[in-house]
Amino acid sequence: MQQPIPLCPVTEPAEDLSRLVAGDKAEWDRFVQRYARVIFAAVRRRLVPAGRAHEVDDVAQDVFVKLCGREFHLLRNYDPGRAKLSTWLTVIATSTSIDHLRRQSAPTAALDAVPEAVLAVDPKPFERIKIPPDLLSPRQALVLELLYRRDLEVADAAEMLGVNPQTVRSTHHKALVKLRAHFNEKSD
Amino acid sequence: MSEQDRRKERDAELWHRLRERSRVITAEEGSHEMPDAMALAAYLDGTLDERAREGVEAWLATAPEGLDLLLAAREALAEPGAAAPEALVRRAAALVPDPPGRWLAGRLRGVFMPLWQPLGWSGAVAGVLLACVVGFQLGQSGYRSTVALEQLEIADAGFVFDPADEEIL
Repeated sequence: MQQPIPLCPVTEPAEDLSRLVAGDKAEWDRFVQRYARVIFAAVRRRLVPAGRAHEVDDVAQDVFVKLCGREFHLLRNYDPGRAKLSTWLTVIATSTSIDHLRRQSAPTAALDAVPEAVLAVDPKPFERIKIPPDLLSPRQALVLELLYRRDLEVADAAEMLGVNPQTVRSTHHKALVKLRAHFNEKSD
Repeated sequence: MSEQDRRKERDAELWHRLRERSRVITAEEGSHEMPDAMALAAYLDGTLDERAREGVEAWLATAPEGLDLLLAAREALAEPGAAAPEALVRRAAALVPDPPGRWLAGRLRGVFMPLWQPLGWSGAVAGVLLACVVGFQLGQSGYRSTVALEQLEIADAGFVFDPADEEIL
């Protein structure tokens, strides 16, 4: 199988968060100064199109509350060997924004008043569909989802998957052959 | 509509039909298969091995909100965002309180820095000289006090109780 092209190559220097998670105030201030832009941008991108621009600051603050809550429990889960800190923070901030939109309210509260669920380490589970086993590979199903439900162009889907467009076309074709057979349709 | 468009529509219909006929897994039921934030970040950075990547893609293909999350995160990473408002940075920084010693140092700095900035080094030298003069003056007055105390003790010596005088009383 072709080696995937990194979506966002890891070039950022690995962050040492040991002093920060030990409660070093100066390290926390430095962290906030450095990554507030990343968090703010991710929250803004999700909330502004939903017509909730006025809530961006509060949700971004909620992200920081999550990060330092329970003695930096969430930050302790970050593994610099697996992904860039900015990528991980973007996922956390985007997930927090989606949760916020799902709740449709939830003003920013003091740390002690924040329910445990809001401080959850990972996003809340999402509802899923179960495709018949052995019908499509995960990538085939994802390619069909990207092309037919998200209306992405082949080039965009390829970029999203970190592969070249020809791989997407080939995966798409194989998936359709299987689908047609599954529904007893003739392949043309 | 061209033949190619019609074919694309038919193909899309196959995928929609499969999705509609597929069983829905509730959030709780499928929660154990959900990748955590670290795995999603690793997927975006392209650092997952093949098996882990397939696991994430299997979830993305069947969890629409999960795919929303990944696409939104990807878009946010692709575009440099505007700087965060200063008020947000201050509020976020304040979530972790200053240790007491640092608070005191900050207060002292707040008191003395406004004095230091206009005066600079010349002010510091003047301050040291002033401290020396004041110290010298205090030292001198302290010497005088000591001398005065000795004289007072001598003067008061006649009033010290002597047991030998008891008989006289």
